[in-house]
Amino acid sequence: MTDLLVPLLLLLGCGAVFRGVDVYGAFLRGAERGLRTLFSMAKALVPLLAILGMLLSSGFPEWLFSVLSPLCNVLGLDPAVLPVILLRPLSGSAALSAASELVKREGASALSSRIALAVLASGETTVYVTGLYLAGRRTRYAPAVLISALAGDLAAAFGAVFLILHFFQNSP
Amino acid sequence: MLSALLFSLVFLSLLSALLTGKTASLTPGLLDGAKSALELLLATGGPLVFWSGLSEVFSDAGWIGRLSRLTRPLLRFLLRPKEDCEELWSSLSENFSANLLGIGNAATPAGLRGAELLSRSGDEEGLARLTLLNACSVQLVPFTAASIAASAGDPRPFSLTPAVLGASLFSVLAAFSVFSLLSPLRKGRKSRD
Repeated sequence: MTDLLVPLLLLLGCGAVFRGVDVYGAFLRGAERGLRTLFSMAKALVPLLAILGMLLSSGFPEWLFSVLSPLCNVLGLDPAVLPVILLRPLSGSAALSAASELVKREGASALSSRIALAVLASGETTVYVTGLYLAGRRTRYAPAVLISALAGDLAAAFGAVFLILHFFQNSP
Repeated sequence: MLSALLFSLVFLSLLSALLTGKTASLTPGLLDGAKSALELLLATGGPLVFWSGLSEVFSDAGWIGRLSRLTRPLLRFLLRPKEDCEELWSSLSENFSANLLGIGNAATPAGLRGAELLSRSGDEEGLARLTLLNACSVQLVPFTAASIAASAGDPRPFSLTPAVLGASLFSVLAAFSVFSLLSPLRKGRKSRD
């Protein structure tokens, strides 16, 4: 069913020509915006992924896994997904890097890859967003927002793990 | 803040390498990582640019506006703004709809406009809730994640969509429930200066 999602969206979009929209022009403008986004992503991703790569070959992951695997076994979670979950609220680029490394290592159909990608997509860079919206505004709700948002990220992670493990193990 | 993260990661790498004796793998790991950054961008960049283009079409066609009207009741329930002004609603709806379609660039300005209006009218709780809504990304089409999956060979990358949507909903549920529990505690206190 999800097979047709993108083609239908595309049909819908191109169909806008009948409403007088300059579809091609819009595409170009949006694509240019996307290229600029890509460029700014590159600026962040190269140093991040480089440092992450160094961390991954330093022996740290092995140690972390041995410490956390009892907990993960209890939860039914592959410890390799932990970096993505922990980094998600802190930095979208870092989480993206961690997730893509995992997917590269395990392959796209591995359970942990699917979980990592679902966590990546369903979470948000909490710290950045909260900072952005509340910057310079006096509010007594700031701690409550931060705690609630982190609770949300945690719930997203658990939700992603739960849903993929029980319903969406393979491409439906 | 990111700088602190960077320092911690580098320090941790060196420490781990010294403790596990893997110092020889540090530099190759670093260079390999740098290489894989551009490999990742090359693999996922095309779909990203494509999606940006398509979102612009939706935006030009006014469908974001359409979507906005549909989402108003939901927003009223979640955000509970004190005032009912049209300008506020249009920013809030645009923010939410753009987020749904994954157009961060359109969502953020609209969201910040809404934040400014709420702040000016002294609606602290509305502002907090708006921030919370933006901090839980609810996205209909997980393009970035799907393109990573596709670049690793997944034949049906968008099969992640239902799981992502479900997880996002858990996220909103949890975040707003926790906030509803915490906010009465805060209402009693004076505004921080």
